[in-house]
Order: sequence, then C-alpha cells, then structure tokens
Amino acid sequence: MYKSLPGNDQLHTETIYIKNMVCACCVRVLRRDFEENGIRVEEVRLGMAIISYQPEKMDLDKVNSILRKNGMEIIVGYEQQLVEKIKSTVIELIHQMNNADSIAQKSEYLVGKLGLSYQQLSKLFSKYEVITLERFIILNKIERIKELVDQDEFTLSEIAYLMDYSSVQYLSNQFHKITGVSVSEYKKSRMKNKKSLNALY
Amino acid sequence: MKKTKYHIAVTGLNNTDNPGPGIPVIRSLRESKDFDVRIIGLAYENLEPGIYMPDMVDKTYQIPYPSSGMDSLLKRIEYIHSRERLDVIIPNFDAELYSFIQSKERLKAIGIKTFLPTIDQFEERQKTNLGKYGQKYGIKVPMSKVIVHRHDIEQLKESFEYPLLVKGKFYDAYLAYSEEQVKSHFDRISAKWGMPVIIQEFIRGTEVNVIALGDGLGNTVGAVPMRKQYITDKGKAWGGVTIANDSMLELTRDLIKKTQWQGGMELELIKTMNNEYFLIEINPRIPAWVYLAVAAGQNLPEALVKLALGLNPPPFLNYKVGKMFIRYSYDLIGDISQFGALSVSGEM
Repeated sequence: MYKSLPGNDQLHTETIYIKNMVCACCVRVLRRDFEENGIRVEEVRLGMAIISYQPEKMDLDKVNSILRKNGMEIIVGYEQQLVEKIKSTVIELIHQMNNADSIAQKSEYLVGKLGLSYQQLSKLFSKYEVITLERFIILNKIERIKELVDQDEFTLSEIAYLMDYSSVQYLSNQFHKITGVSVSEYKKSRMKNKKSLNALY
Repeated sequence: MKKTKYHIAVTGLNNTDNPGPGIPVIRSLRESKDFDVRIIGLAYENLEPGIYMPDMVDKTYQIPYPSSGMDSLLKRIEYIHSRERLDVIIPNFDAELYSFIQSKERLKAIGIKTFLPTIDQFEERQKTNLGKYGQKYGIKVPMSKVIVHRHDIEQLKESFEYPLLVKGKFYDAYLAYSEEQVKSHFDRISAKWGMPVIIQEFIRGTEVNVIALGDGLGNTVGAVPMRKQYITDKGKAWGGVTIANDSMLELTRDLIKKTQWQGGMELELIKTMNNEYFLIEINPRIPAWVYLAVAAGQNLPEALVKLALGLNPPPFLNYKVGKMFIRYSYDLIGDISQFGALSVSGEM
C-alpha cells in the first residue's frame, strides 16, 4: 500500500537504473520497499524503475539507501547502465527463455535488444566487470542447469540442448570445471548449492 | 466385419516448412480402427506436396481461393460432391475457415458434414480480440495493440517494451527490437495478409501448445499438451514432446467448457518462470502436429469425423507422455504430366 501521496503535480518523477536486479523477486521486493517508504512505483522491471516521490521528503540518496539494503544500487553513467542492461538481458535469455531457439533467436537476442555488436558489448562488459561477458554467460548457464536439474522436468540431453551445448559430455565437463562436481554428483548429493544471481562472482 | 468407408475431403496439403495440417490429418484418418476412408484432397496450388503423395490422397481437386468468394467455393464443392459423394469436409486453413463455417448449412443440405466452431466462437478468439478474450474467460494474455497505420508505430514505445512481436491477422510473427524493425515487419505483413497488424508484448518463457477437441456442448473429447523442442525461424514447431501438465489440461478443459467450443483447436501458450501461462493464440482448427497426439493415443481427427457424423466418440482419458516428433524434408518424385493434369483440368 502507498503511504498517502499528494496529487501528481506535487510529485517528482524519475527513472533510475539499478544494479544487481536479477529476478522477479527483486522486482517484488523493490516495489514493496519503495511503497512502504512512500515512493510511488510507476514501473519497475529488471534493471530499472520509474518512481514518483515528494521532493521535500525523499531524494535519490534515500532511494539509494533503500536499494542498498537489498544489495542493489543506483547506477550512474551511460556505460554502466549499459553493462547492467547486458546482465539483465543475459539473465532473460538464459533464465527466462527455455526453448533452444524460438521466434527469438538466441544468437540475435543480446545484440538485437541492446543495439550493439557482440564485440562492443563484450569490450564494455570487461571494462566495468572483473570477468568477461563470456564467463558471465557460462556462470549463468551453470546456475540455470542446476535449477533445471533440481526441477527434474527435463532429461540431461534436453538440458544440454536447451543451454546450447553440443553434447551432454561438453555440458558435464563445463559443469565440473565450474562447480567442482559432476552433474550426477550434484543431483545425487542434493547439495543444491545454488548461487544467487547477483553473487555469481 | 467390413468397415464403413467414408469419403472425406481435406484441405491444407501444403506439407512444406510452414506445414498445413492436411497430411497429418489424413495420416490419422487412415489409421482409424473404426472406419475406412477415401480421401479427396482439396488444393489451392499445384505444388502443394500432399497432392503428389499417392498413399495419402486418393484424388485431388483444385478449389478457388477464399478471396474469390463463398459462391464460387460452394459451386466447386458441389461439383466435387457430385463426383465423389463427400461425407465430411475438414478445412485446415485459418483463412478458409470463415467461408466453410458460413457455408455449414448449405453443405449440410447437400449431405456434407463439417465439425467447426460457430462463427461467434471463431470471431471472438481472433488475434485482434485477444485482450477481451482473456478478460472474458479469465486467462492471462499478453498486452496487444491493433494497428492499421505506419504512423501508429511511433507511439508504441509509450506502452510496449522492446523487443515486441509483430503479427499478421492470420499468419506470421516477427520479433522486433526497434521501431525500424517494426516498420519493416509491418510493411511485409500488411502486404501479405492485409490489415490490421497486431503488436504484442513479448512474453519470455517456454513455448507450449495444447491440441484439443471440443464437442460443442462444453465437453473436451481429447487434449494433449506438447512442449516445442525445436522451433523454426517462422515460429513453427519442428520438434516437440508430449508432456504431463495438469495446469495446461485444466486451462484447456475450462476454456472448452466456458466457450462450448466445437471442433479442433490449438492453444498456443507461454509458460513463464513463475509458472504462469499466457495464452498467445487460439488456432480454431487441428494443428499440423496433430499426429503426435495420435501417436500418444488420441486420434483426434478420427474423433472429429465421428462427431461430424453424429456418432458419439467416448472422451480420451489419457495419453502417453514423452512421445516425440521431429519433422523432416523428403523429395517426392512425380511427373510433370501430373502437374499438367491438375493445371489443365483442376483435378488429378
């Protein structure tokens, strides 16, 4: 519920870009926390929000402190905003779109949505992050594989196909290399040591 | 005991990379345990591959395009009926359904049965009405907007996030990442399928479909859910697997009950990460992957023919999970004289 807010003409509306928003839970939590603090949420989705607030009671520092409590923060600067968009687009592609390829061709999705070549995106990503874009994609794939293995809905061959691995063997090798255990060991041990998507590295 | 032989006319013989349902429907009918069939193919074009499959079609006649009007279609059907004594017609193209639905009584009067949705059922599920449809029947649908002018495209950014889908009223869907791409898809689709063009929110998730058959009284005669495994750049399933999914079956049965759906249907759904189902489209006919349902234990085309003939097929209660299909291409060898025969006399 909103705390009572005056009419639209007395509100300041701002679009903010947010770091470390990775899933639908982040969207829900943020909406709730903003509303609890008297901020009206016009729109919120991965990596951005449009908010309205009374300028005499709220400012961007206070907004940022709400975000930090949830492990997020406001991004300033065009390039950093773009890096965050790269991350949320990779998450959409790997975690939200299950089909191996669909009307949205995987190879085109990142480049198409962000309007830059893969080389440009990759270079920009490396400039602001401690890992490469390729590594970021692999880490996300591994987390998605863990999730799909846990769900028990797909066979490993199907998971390999969905995640663009040419074979189960290739998937298994990469899984082992990143996690230190094989897929079958992971499945048997019920370790379920899934990582939060904002703490992959 | 000798089985009754029904003469069944089937359209949709275009077994191409954008396949019509005709050939899988015929294949299903030929596997009926309860009746035999003589199949009369109804083709629009000379190069529909089904025409040249001798084990599928016994005889093919050309029919006029729906755009040439209902009377010329009916005249042609009457001629074919005089030669073939048709029992049932199964139309399989969205674009021709309107004419066949409207001609139901005239066809019935000359002894030809159909089992199609009513005109109201057909109209209200049109892509252009999806928003209202979702609201009326309590189903989540993506946000959609109907546009008829190129200048409407500039306003899309106010209500849609890119990428978005650009769809034709009957067929075709393209993903657009920018305004420029929307314009290009709009031009291509409107030139091919006419107006309006539909803009639809792109829902991320797994593409799943259900094939179903409603008896027109609110009962589901059969339903099989499928997850697409391989999808072509035209958005067509080229591979798929039957899945166990009670939510999809419940959604289907509920919709058939509420709409009193009559005939075959395909629900195109997206399952999101949050396990929500969004209805993307309802195809008011049997889909091209129908043979997967037959392989899984539900011969829905056979049941549809029985319903058309006033027989009461028992409902299918289950199906095999994990049945998979994959399409392939194959070079049929014919003779140019066959092509010529169809071209000159309109039948072969």
